[in-house]
Amino acid sequence: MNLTLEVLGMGLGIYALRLVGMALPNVRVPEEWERALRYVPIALLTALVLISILGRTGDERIYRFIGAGFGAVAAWRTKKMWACILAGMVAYWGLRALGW
Amino acid sequence: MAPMQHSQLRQLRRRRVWQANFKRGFVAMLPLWAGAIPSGIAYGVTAAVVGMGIFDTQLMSVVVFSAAAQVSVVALVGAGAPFILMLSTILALNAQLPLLGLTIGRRLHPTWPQRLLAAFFLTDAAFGIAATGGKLRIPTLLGTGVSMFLGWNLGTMIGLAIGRLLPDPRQLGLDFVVTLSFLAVLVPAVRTRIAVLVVIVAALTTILLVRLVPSGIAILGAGITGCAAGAMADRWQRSGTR
Repeated sequence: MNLTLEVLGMGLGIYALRLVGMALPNVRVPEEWERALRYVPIALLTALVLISILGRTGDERIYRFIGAGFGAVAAWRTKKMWACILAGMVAYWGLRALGW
Repeated sequence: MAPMQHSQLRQLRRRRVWQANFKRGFVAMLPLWAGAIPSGIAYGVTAAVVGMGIFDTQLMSVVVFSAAAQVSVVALVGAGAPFILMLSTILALNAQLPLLGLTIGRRLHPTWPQRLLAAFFLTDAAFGIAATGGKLRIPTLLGTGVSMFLGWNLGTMIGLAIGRLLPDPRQLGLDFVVTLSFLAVLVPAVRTRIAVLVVIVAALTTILLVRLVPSGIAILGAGITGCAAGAMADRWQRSGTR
């Protein structure tokens, strides 16, 4: 099959996957489930943070893990995105430079 | 005359609010460009290496718009894999998307044009940032989505044009900014004991699943178990206080 057509087919497939959840909202969902959906963003972000760290190997994974710890503390204390990024990157680059 | 002016004014105000929310989402995503552009460059270079044409490479960033999926597909194209394998890889790596769509649908009750448009730009990073940093709204979601889309496609373009001349930006570890951006949104949102429980359960599920299944399924699993734990704790707390 022509690659362009294949790419378009893949695009259509993933678009359907993106739309399917949104296309369903008129079905009746028990109230409990509805409440449970409020926790989706928190669970999702937790998984994304972990996957981005666990996807690394060796020292790189340890540096990122510690950097994330510094970032988390900064985010908790200041609630500012830039502070979290700054603290995390300084810790991470510092550890890399020292080569611990 | 007067009522018409009144309605015009209201429309103008509504448009301003819409623009402000869109902008808020768009700007909140900018730190994530530090990850999107280098990954886009890497994708563009790899696609060129396996012999994919410029048009197909860029087209995939427009219509598929998923870093994990596209990098895997490029490897499959290089290996001459059949279409059905590529499609199922994409779907497995993005198995979490219906859960996000369901959340958006239930919480916002968007109109059909809004659904069709929001679905096109839906990614978990954009959803996570839009849903956690303040109230979830369609314009904010579109702002985060469009921002990510531009960063990713710009990265692809750079990768195709001059990617091979650049040192690999991922060597610097700049993509770690993405992890930190997620944390910066997540940490302040964990305000209750139930939220802490959701984080713990989602984390344990991710750690357990990430080596066994494609990332999309691990994310979906974390979403489901985290929500279930949150809902159960919610119910328990309600029955306790009654």
